[in-house]
Formats: sequence, C-alpha cells, structure tokens
Amino acid sequence: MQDVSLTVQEGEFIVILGPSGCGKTTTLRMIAGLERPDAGTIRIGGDVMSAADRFVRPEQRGIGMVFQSYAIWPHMSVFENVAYPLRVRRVAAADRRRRVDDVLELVGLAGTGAQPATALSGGQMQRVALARALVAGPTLLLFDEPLSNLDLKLRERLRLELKALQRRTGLTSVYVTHDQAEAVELGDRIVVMQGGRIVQIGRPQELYREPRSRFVAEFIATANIVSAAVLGAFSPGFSRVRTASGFEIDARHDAPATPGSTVDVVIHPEDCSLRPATSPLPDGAYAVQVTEARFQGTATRYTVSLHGEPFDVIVLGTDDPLPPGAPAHLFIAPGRARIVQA
Amino acid sequence: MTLRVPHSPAAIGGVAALLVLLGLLIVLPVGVLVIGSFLSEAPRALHFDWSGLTFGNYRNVITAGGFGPVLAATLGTALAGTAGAVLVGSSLAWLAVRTDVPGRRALDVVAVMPLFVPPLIGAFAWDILASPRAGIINILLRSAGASVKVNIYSFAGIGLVYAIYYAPYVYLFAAAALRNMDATLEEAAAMSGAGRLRVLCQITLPLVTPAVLASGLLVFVLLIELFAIPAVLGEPGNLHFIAVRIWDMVGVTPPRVNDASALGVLMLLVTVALVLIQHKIVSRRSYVTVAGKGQRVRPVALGAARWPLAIGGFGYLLLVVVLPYVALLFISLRRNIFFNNVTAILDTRQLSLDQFRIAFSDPVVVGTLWNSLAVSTGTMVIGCVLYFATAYIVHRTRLPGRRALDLVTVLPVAIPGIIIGLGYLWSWISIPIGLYGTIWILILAYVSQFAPQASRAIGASLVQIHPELEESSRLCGAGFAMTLRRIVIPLARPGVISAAILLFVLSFRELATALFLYTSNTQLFSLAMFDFWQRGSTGLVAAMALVQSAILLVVVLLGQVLRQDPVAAGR
Repeated sequence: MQDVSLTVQEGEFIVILGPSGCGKTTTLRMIAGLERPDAGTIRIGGDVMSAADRFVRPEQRGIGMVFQSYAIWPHMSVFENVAYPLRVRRVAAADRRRRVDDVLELVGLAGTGAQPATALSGGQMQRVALARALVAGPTLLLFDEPLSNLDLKLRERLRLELKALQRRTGLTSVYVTHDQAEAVELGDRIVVMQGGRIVQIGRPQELYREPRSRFVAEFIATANIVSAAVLGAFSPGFSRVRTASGFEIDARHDAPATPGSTVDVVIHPEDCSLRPATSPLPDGAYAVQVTEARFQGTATRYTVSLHGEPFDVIVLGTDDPLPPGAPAHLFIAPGRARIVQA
Repeated sequence: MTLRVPHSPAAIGGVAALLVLLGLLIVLPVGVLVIGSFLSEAPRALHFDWSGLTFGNYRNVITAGGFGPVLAATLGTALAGTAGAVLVGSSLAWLAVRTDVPGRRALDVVAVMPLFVPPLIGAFAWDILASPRAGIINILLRSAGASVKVNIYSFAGIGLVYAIYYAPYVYLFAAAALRNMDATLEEAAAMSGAGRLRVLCQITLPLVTPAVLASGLLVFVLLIELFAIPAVLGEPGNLHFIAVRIWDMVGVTPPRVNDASALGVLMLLVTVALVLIQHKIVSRRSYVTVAGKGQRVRPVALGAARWPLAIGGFGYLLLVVVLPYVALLFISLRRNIFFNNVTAILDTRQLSLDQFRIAFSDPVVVGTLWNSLAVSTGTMVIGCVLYFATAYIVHRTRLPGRRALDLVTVLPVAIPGIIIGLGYLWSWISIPIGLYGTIWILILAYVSQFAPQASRAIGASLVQIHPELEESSRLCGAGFAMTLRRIVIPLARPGVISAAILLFVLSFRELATALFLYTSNTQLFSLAMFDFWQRGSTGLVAAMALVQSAILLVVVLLGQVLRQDPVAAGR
C-alpha cells in the first residue's frame, strides 16, 4: 500500500471501493488497529492512533466494526453478543439492559435478545453485528463488506436501512465494498482504490461524470470507452478528437492534450439516444445500425454499429425496440464525452 | 487473516520460553540418547567422557547373536500385523460405509472400539484365551476332542493380535476416504458397463489407496515400536523383539545402557524414515479425504452375501472386545485360576470377588493406582496448558518462531515411547537436578510423548474459530486476556477437552515410556500389572486390567459429557 491519504469529515459516510486485492480491506483494518502500517500516521478525532513511535491497540480505539462474516459469537445469545462491549466497559447491569434493548430496537430486532445468536438468519445476524458495533457509542463505525454474504433483495433493503440509520445517528462511517451500486448509493464520498493506491476520491456524481482514469470509469459504471486521437482544443475545457473508427466529437478534458496524442474517451450509454433513420441525418447525429436490442423492462439496451465498432446505448421507456439491422441516428448529449487517462 | 499487530516483547519472550521448554522436554532427551549411543561409559551425573567415543555399541548390538532373529521377528510380525490390519480395517470400512450390510451404523461404532482396549490388556486377555497349554480356547478344544490347538505365542498369533487391535487406525482413514469420495466416479464406471467387482477393483480401490497406504504405514510404525504385546506374548514362545531387547539390556547387571541406546537409535532411524514417507503420502493433493462434503451415496447391494458379511463384521467385535473381556472377567472372578476341563471352567463354586479384594488391600496395587492417577492428572493439566499456548501461537498468530514450535510438537510422532524413556533416563541422570526418581520425570516424559495428539486436538478446534470472532472482541474493547477467556477458550472447549482426555487416557495406559523412569516409590499401575503378570499372578492382573478399563471408560464418558458443543450449549 502506498500514498493512501484520506481525511474523513465528522458525520461523513465514506465508501472505499475497489476490486479484490486493491488494499481496501487492509486500509480498513489499519484504521481499526488490526494491522499496523509500516509508515504513516492514523489519527482519529485528532488523537494519533498509529505512527512510527505510537500504536493504540484496537480495543482502546473506541471504534465499532461490522465484519464480513458477521463475527457473531456462537456460544452467546443475541443479548450477550450485543452487551459484550458494555460488559467490557463495566457498565452496570440495569444500564446495560436498557442500552442493549434500545439499540436492538434501533436495528429492528426488538425482543430477540434471549434467542441464541446461531438461530438467526444471515440478515438478522448482520443486524446483531450492527447493534453490537453501535451499543458502546463509538466515535467511528467501520464496515467490511457487511452485505456481501446476503442475497440481492435483502442486500438492497439493508442498504436503505443502513443509510437511514447512519443519517439518524450521524456517526462517522467508513465502508468497504467491491460493489459499485452499493458504493454509489451509500457514500457521501467514494474512495476508489487500485493496486494499493487511492486513484480518485469524490462524490458519487463526480466519479460518474468526471472519472480521472479509464479504471475509475469502468469500475463505477458501464461505459463506452473508445480510443481516439487529439485534433486540438478549439473551445475552453474541450478537445476535439477523432476516434479510431473515424468519427469526431468534442470531449471534456482536465488539461488540453497534445494534438496528435492518443487518449481514451468515455461516453456513457445513458447519455446517448437513438432515433429511427426516417429523415436525413441531422447535424451532430451519427448514422448507425442496430446490431442487438435487449428489452429490460424500464429501458432498452442497444448495441449499435458505429463506423463498424460496437457501441452501447440505453434508451429509457417502454417503447418497442428497433429491430436488429435497422438503420438509426445516434445522438450524444453535448458535453458528456470525457477524456480520461488510459 | 490473523491479527497483524506489532509483536510485543512479552509475546516474543513467551515464544522463546516455550521453544526452550519444548526443546528441553522433547529434543534434549533424544539428543543425549544419540550421543550416549556413541559413548563407552554408562550415564553419570554431569559427566560425558568424550574420549570414549566409539562405534563399539553399534558393533556389539549388530554382531550379537540373535540380532538377525530379533530384527526378523520385529519387522516380520509388524509387517504381517500391518497387512492384517489393512485387510480387516479397509474391509470393515467398505462394509460400513458403502454397502447395505445389516447393522452398518452399529458396525461403524464397533470398528473403532478396539481403540479403547489398551495393548497390554489385549495381550493379557489373549494370553489367557489362547496360550498353548492353559488357554481357555485350547482347553475347550481339547474337551471337545479336537486335535488342533491355537498358539498365541507364535509369529502368526502375535501377527493376529496386532492385526485386530490396530485395524481401527486403518478403518478411520479408509472410512473417511470412502465417505468423501465422489460417488459419481463409480457411477460413471457403472454407466460405462463395468460390473460391481470391476468398479470396486478398478475405481474404488485405487481412489482410496493413498489413505489406506498412509494408515498402513502409521500402523507399521506403531507396531515396530510396540512393547506390551511382544513382551507378554513373544517371550514365552522364544520370539524376541527390539523394544523388549532394549528393556532387557537395561535390566541386566551391570546395565548395558550404551548398547540399549545404540539399538534404540537404530529403531529411531527406521521409525523416522517411515514417518517421513507417511507424511509425504498424506500431504499429496490426490489424497481423497481432503475432498469436500460427503454426499449421499447409493450403497452397494450385497444380495445374498449380506448376512454372512454382517456376521463377519460383528465377529470382529467378538474377537477384539467381547472374548478378551469375558476371559478377564472370568479369571478375575475365580478363586483358583487352575483348571483344565470344561467342568472346572463351569464350576460356580469357584466364583468369588477375592481377586478384587486382594487387589484393593494390596498396598502396591493401591499405591500405584494413586501414582498413576496423579501422573495422568499432572500430564493432563500441564499438557493442556502447554499445548494450548503452543497451538494458539502456531494457528492464531504470526509470531516469529511459530513454525519451529509446530515442528517440535509433531516430532514425537516418530519417537517410540521406549526411546523417550531411555532418553529421559540418560538426560536426567546426567543432569542431576533431582528430577529422576520423582513422579515429575514420568509426567514430563508423558507430556513430551503425547505432544502431537494433544496439540493436534487443540489446533483443530482453534483453526475452526473464524479470526473475525476474535477481532470483533478486540474492537468491542476487550483486551487480549479477556478475549482469550470469553471468546477463544469457550469456543475451543471441545478441542481442549479432547486433548485433556487423550492425555489422561494415553498416559494412564502407557507402559513402555515408564519402564526406565520409575522407582519403587513412583511405580505406576500399568507397570505393576506387568510386574504381577511376570510373577504369574494372573488372577490379580485380570482384576487390575478390569479396574484400569473401568477407569478409562469413566474418563472417556465424562469427556463426552463435558465436550458437548459450546454452540449447542448456548441454545
């Protein structure tokens, strides 16, 4: 791991996103104190947790953590699991009872305290894990892919609940996942990691609209990424490029690229639209041919042939799709194409 | 992932201390024994006479008259016993796991029951049953007018006793392999047109061969080092074995400890080589028992052979457990152990509890019983603490030195008990800190000898505990000690109890290890039994054997109760 520099605001929900092996879990475990970085400093609320000459053990950091495997102790009841952090802190029995009941209600498990932890379903176990992480009033909440072992429906519901709970409690949270849909929905900001480094930090919309690299663009959403040659910068913030298959387009850039150099251009399928080729080709439109149309209920996903190259387009609505082989006009919303680092 | 926090000086110091301790317990005695085998003087306090360095001891041992026959008897009977154990064990495994033989579930229990019969007791019982002249079976045969007789004091007799008592080791491996085997492999052969016998010989057998081979080698090693059965059944038939020969050499005046050590080192070379080969086989990937979950397998229909095979399977139980204990009970309940016909055997006036009365009023018997209970309890407590610490470091930390710890605790697999005993004799006479002559030397020798079994049992439990269960406790604010007490130990309880039971049972029944380490004050129950048997007190020995078996049974049952799953207990 290198160059991992990150400041989390109080009350913020940060998601660390990346493919497996990118170092996101290691980053989280370093914040938790389960691993010690070779170099660098970790501070929580201004207190140094880890530095060259100082290391605060995990049990002294006052962090709540929800693990991927839930890590519910099978030899204890739900109540005993959730009460454990209070017990460790020698909270009086009556107070303990009240606080466990409160937090169980908060996560939607009121009345299950007496049950053995192993009798619960996966979703319920994850709620117990969350209750346990919350009960002692942590300064920071860590999540290590907590929903990855659940089925899709449950995952979506718990995602909503988790977000609502975090808003209500205002707890600073760091959440690790490899699922971009989860990241986009949960995160106030997303940290994208690759190969042990942070490659981009930003709000979900920023990452979507302004990916700084091909990797981020591909990871955050499905996108058309085409190789192109720079013709020159003719308007501020935009470069004119010609793609390998031979069409020209204006694409946003961070800094003007050298004319003649090769770049990657990202065009999201949902920034495009498609019309049947019934009139002459309008200005700014491209002549294409439908190769495949997949109706997906609320949208139709097309693959069209643009100068012989496959290109994805998503058209919202429930209209009948254009048949394969039909000629069509492709419109790309102005200003949406973007140049990224290869 | 295990906790990757910095290693505190205390933790590193702890590993170092454990390494030194285990080195003293396990490596040092064997090292001193090896050195001793090249010296010309017997062990003396703080004294090694390096000027007497010699190969003479080895020459004495190898050129002595009878070395050839000793080697032949030891290896020959061990080979025959292994072959028998493999045949019996794998046949029983196939019957119980893969066929529709009646009572297959009971057979699965029956097949491992001989493990609970200590070899010494099995040997006594078979002596009572089948000694050529006075054996009960021979008396019955004679009374029936049969001209044949069985002779347990023979190559074949000892091979048979070996085979039936060591078959369960093969059974365990073979049954596991058969259970985990992918049944579709056999079904595919059947669909290709192969008959049942062809499937068995060309598909099933080759697939379980590694498992059977590995267990066979294990049995071979155990039989080469075995002392109890050869000592009881070999000597009367003038068959001599390496382990017994080592004991004889130390028993003569003056003791030939150096020669005994040389012979011991030769034996050690053989067992180490065999264990290394066995390890190679087990660690190969093709080994079937590492496969995933067993699925439901359609049993092989035996047809008309079902009942004869069932009778054969349960007949095994009769041979290894029922007959021997009936014989022991019969002898222990008689006033007079001399009888030579059926009428005398059935004479109810002979019934009495005299032998038990004698046993419990004999200060030697009672004293050795208390000694044995004390030694086994000590072994259990020290072993559990020591091997929990070792297993925790090996399986749950990344501390430097953990691999060395792991290696040292498995070493005794290849060290025969009699060698451990001899090594302890050398070391603790040479290093006179008052250990020799106390029960502590026995406890420490047992703790060393059973290190592999105990650390394996605890380790198996520890690796099943997901690391996150421990990490979450730390994040809840609990320190290392509290996490250990509230999370790790409760969850590892089945393994710790298993280790405790193993340590108690194995040390309570052990004979060979203690042969050189006891004094008149620290004699143990097994040693006393062996001693009384040599003096011909068969009735008393039978009563003691039953007492020992009863104690072992109680301990094992107690363990079953205590072992119950902590997860289930939380319900």
